[in-house]
Amino acid sequence: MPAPHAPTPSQTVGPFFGHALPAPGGPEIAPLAHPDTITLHGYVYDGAGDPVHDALLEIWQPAPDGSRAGAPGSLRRDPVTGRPAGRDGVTFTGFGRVPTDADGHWAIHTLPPGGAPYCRSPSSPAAS
Amino acid sequence: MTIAPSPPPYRSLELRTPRGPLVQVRDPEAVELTGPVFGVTDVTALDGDLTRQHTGEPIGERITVTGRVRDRQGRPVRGQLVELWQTNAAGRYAHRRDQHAAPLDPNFTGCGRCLTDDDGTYTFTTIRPGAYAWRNHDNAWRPAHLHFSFFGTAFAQRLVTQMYFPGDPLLALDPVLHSVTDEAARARLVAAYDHDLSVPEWSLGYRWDVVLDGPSATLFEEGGAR
Repeated sequence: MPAPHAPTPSQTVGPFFGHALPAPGGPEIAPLAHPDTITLHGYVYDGAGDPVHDALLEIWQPAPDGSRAGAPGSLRRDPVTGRPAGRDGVTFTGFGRVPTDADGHWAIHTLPPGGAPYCRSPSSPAAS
Repeated sequence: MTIAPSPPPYRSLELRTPRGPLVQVRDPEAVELTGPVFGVTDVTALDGDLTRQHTGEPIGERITVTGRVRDRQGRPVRGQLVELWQTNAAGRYAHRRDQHAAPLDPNFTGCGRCLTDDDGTYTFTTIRPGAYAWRNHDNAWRPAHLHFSFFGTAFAQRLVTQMYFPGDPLLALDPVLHSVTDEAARARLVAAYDHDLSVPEWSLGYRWDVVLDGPSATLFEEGGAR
């Protein structure tokens, strides 16, 4: 008997998400002009070692001070046209989205996450 | 509906399935307690109506799709981002690499988003997508479906999936739907026609409720059958 709250299964994102999910500035989790901004990049390969050209990566990370509060602004739209508007060029949002290119390559620009990996920090809700 | 023998396998899964164990998160709370932040500054009420994104009306059957997003304990998932993308009524995506021999609709892009309300409810107005041919195997057709993406209150609840329409004869033949091997679980991907949601002389209504999983839910079930 399936429980009333049995989880909804996942399904493939499919090859045709490019008009829907990625947004301009998606890889720029931190402003490019921020002096501490780093670039992290890599490739996605399939089980045969071939590049995956239609993968989508999502990044969710703490701020340099360890805070995981994040900030809105990663998926803004122009209020007039409704088209994706990109980021404001100032805010670190903690969230980014980047599709791989034809070579399976992706790159993001961000600030180093605070503390040791997955550590609690005073500003995190996990510590209270 | 009579289910014929299982459809051919979904080829793309072969080389895109993890072979090794997944990476263990050392501090589960890091992914259980927080997730990406979205707010009214990112999402507006207009974003959930896919029929009003261009100067003209899209061609097709106007539908309302709504449902509640809950966690495994039945608690509503509030204020979280839901994204929807789909083909037009003829079964073609507004995507350059989709060269399926069906017309594009200049008045339909096929993507929208909304935030769940205090009840966990999401709502979209759109047009019913079409079935389309693909090259997984000979004479392969995908049933009409809506692609959905859900953010939960924690990143561990992240879900990307597809919603199907009830009574579609192609459901029995679809390798993507049948990549979910449990029949009861497959049924949870099929919406219900809800006449109370249909608006006279305007649109047909479908209801599709969603339950997001997550590590906390798994811990809750420890020792139980799954």
